[in-house]
Amino acid sequence: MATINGFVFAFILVWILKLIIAFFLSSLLVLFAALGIHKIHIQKTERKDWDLLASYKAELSSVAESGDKISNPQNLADAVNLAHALSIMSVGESVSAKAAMRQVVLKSKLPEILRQALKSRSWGTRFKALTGFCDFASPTEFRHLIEFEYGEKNTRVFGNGLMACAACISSTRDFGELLALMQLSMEISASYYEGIFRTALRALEETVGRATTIKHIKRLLLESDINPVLKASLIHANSKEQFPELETAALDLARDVDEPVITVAILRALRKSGNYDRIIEENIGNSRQYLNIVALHASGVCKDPGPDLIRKIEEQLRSRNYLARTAAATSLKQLGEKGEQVLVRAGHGDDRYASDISTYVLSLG
Amino acid sequence: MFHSVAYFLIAYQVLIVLYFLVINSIYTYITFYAFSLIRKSSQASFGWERLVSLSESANFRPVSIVIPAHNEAVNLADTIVTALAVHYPQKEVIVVNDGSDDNTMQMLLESFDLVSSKHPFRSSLETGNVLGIYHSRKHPQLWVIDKENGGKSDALNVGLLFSHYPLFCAIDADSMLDPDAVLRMGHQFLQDKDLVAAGGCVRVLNGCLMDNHVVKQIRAPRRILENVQIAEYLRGFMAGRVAWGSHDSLMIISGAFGIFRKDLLLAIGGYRESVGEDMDLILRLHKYCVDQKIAYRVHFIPEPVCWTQVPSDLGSLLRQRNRWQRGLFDSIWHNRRMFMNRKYGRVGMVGMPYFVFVELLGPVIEFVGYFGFVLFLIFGLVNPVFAILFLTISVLWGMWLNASAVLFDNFITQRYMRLRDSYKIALLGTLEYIGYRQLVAVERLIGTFQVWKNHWGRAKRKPIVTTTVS
Repeated sequence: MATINGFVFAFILVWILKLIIAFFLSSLLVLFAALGIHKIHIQKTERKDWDLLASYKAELSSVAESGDKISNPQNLADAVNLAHALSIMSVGESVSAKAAMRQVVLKSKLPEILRQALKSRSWGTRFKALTGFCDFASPTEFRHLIEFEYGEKNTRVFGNGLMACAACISSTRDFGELLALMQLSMEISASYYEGIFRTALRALEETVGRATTIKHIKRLLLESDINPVLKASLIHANSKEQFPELETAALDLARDVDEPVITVAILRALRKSGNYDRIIEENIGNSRQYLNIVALHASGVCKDPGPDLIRKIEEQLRSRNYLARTAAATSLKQLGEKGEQVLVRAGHGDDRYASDISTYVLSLG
Repeated sequence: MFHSVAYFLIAYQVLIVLYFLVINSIYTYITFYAFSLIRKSSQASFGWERLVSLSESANFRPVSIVIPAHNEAVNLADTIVTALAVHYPQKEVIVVNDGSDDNTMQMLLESFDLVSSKHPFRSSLETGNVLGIYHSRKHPQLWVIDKENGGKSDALNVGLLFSHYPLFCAIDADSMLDPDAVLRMGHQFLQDKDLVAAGGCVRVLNGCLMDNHVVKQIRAPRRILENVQIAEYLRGFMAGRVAWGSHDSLMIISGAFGIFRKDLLLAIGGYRESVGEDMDLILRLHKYCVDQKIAYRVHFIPEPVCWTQVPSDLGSLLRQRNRWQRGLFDSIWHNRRMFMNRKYGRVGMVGMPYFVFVELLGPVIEFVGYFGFVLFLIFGLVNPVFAILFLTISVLWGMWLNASAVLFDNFITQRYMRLRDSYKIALLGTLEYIGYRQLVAVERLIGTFQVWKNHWGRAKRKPIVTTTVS
């Protein structure tokens, strides 16, 4: 039969097929063995990391008082553990105690190992080293990190590097340099910017004091050449880090530049602080629904709402946008007796939208 | 005449060998490529603390988690509690009771302290009648909609219309979300402004131990059938979808866990009534975005995990695979204009042909291959040494792919902490190619000829094992 059998019979083909089978069988065996070895290695490493972290923590608490040297880390994993131990031990400590611990670590090989790891071709290693710098939070490393960031191409490593820079800030000049880097750099999410600013604000306040920090941030907010998204993130960060003194500067900014991202940021800050400003009233009924809704939310926490504000919120009960109606009704309820009276009236009114949402919000109890 | 038959037989054998070589080469490429991507992304994945600090930001887009349920009284309460416990700045959970005839509604009313609500419901899509809307006094973020039975797509459409937030997350009633799952997905929407839909990884819940509505101990199940499905899911999700997603040709986001931009879902008219509503939705999203010239991306993200129960008995498994095959056929047929259409880019030119020739016609080709193999051996039309070697290679290659997927996943994600669980799944997973795959291929072949059927069939539900983990 002249089928494919003709060349299938070839001796060589049968051998090739046998070799393929041998390859699959042996590679399966290798994979299984490798997984076993890998699991055991991971368990050992984890255990070693835990032990190392615990011993570094114990060492740090003793040498910080005596001023002795700490045992030198041998590799990147050790260095990252030491930095992590430092960050854990620093929580709740005074500025001087933190500085003393950092000084001890500074004398070790940790900075050298981390700096060496930044030169690695593997971005995973660079990422890990930056996590170490983040925990180390040493002002002496700021310049080095900024220079590294300007040459970094990998977005993830770059983002982690920004966080490390923020943790190492020790002067208003450093803050300005970080901001300049963020302005020039690739786009990272707004939430991430907010996190960087929060870290930077904490570091700055710790080193230069609250008054200087506030003065400097005020100046930055009013500078015209800073990206509005960065300014908005800075306003969010100020609000979360409890800097109410910066609210006025942010309000001035919002009035001057008419940037929706900044307006949203300040409205959210007002909602958090519970303060009233006419910007809330001005934005209720804004054709940009997201501004309208954020303003409505901010209005709910006003301590002493005037009749104009209540009238404006009441108008939004008739909005065709569900989120706007809900925000209006919820805010009125939060405003207490005055607001609830409006809701009861709207509940019996002609407008079906206002009636539905008012009855519903009142029924929530 | 004799020559024609001989040529036909040669062509047949060459085609089968070629098909086998091409398919397995694609699978091998996909496995290695996907796991190299996962390894890279897991190195820089945010830890829990960093994620939580990010979630304090007001920039996350609020999400509505919608759970369609039909006769799901056994596990629905657990699913709802895990959805409510998901860490996310602003969310709501909407359960749509799709005309259950067991005690689902009663269970919901009692377990979650539901009260009838006057919340308005206005429909811009054609849906089944809504019988009532309920709000939980215990959990203000929870809403329950009771409606007439209309199928999963209809229930999802009701949830879509009722939802208040810009992101729409659909999960199955027997699935459990990891606490960070939605946050990780939401973070992707924050980072990528063109992202319109994202799918998360679906992993097998069978065998795992729950503690306080969180999967605490990830273990291999006892039954062989369940272990084989774990290997199958790992290959499908961690290898297949990661690779297709990175090539901008992701054709399906599992109905068990996906997040979408609500405005686009409404623009395409919501879910279409189909047993493969999840795949159909993604195909229509691709089509709409291309037709409307919208810059878009459909992505698969391996880190967020949703745990789901897989069938533990053969009957339920075969019914499920029959339904998947019908859904696949229906979705491809409905969107056939995209097939080999350059306008739709990689989806039309790569994704669709792959799904047609490998996923849809695969069972037919496989069945014909096995059938022909037996006939050829009986009638002596093929050299038995070659035939047996070829069969051994095809089985071994498949086993090797399954074991690789399981082992790579274990190398990278470290989800299965106990070595014996990893070995068990990898070893039993290799059995897919000895009997399981052939059985499923036959059922899928039957499904191909039953495309007119548009029902889901009943699946047996087992209660989830809960334990207190010390």
